[in-house]
Amino acid sequence: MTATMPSTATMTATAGATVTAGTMASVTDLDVPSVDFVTDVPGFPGLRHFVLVQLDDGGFVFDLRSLDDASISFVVVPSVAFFPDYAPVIDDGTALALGLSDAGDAAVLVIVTVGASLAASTANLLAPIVVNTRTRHAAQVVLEGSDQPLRAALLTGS
Amino acid sequence: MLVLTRRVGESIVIGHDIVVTVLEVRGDVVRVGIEAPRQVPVHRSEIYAQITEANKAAASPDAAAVAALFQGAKPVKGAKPAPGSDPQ
Repeated sequence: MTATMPSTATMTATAGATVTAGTMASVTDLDVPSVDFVTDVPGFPGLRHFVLVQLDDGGFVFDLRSLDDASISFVVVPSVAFFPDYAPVIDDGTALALGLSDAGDAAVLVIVTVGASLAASTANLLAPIVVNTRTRHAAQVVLEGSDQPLRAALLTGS
Repeated sequence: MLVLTRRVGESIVIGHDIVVTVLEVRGDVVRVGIEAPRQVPVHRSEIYAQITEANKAAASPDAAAVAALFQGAKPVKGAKPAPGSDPQ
């Protein structure tokens, strides 16, 4: 590797792929509903293998369940379903780590913190999960230097 | 903690393939450059801590609460999800 990264902020600024609603793939296109993380999920080291269990007919809500530790799961939603204007910029390093050469192969999921009600539930837009639907490789990408919220109300704008 | 003194332009090698270089020192602000393999994520520690905390807060919610929560969910696209069914 020869690229110099002067700062993490610059990594984002020089990034390649922007994943927008129009170009986004869907995890419902996966031939096998499992994903392998290429990097650790912060807070959960060593848990790299997950299955995606669809919780509704529409494909708007999924349970992302660890195969390494059955007690760990996350509720995730496709960002496009709840935040259609959300267009995270994936830095080149992440794109390469995921083998993403075409933004059209990327599906973006956001982790939901389930509150007492839907109105009290939030989604983490600062660190989305990007899935290469072609290879089923995934990573939780921290959008350093962006203004994306860690806790965005799920119902904003609806 | 290993403590090393470095001047501007000098580097530290971590393992075989991570290089941290001091680029600039201005008052109490230090700019560092990091070269690392692509599979090694590099983050500001306070942001990483926030993400870690948020992930732990979100992990393993009560299944019944999740099912109840999303029965009425209407994503912006307008389609209406059916009540959740959980095969496991």
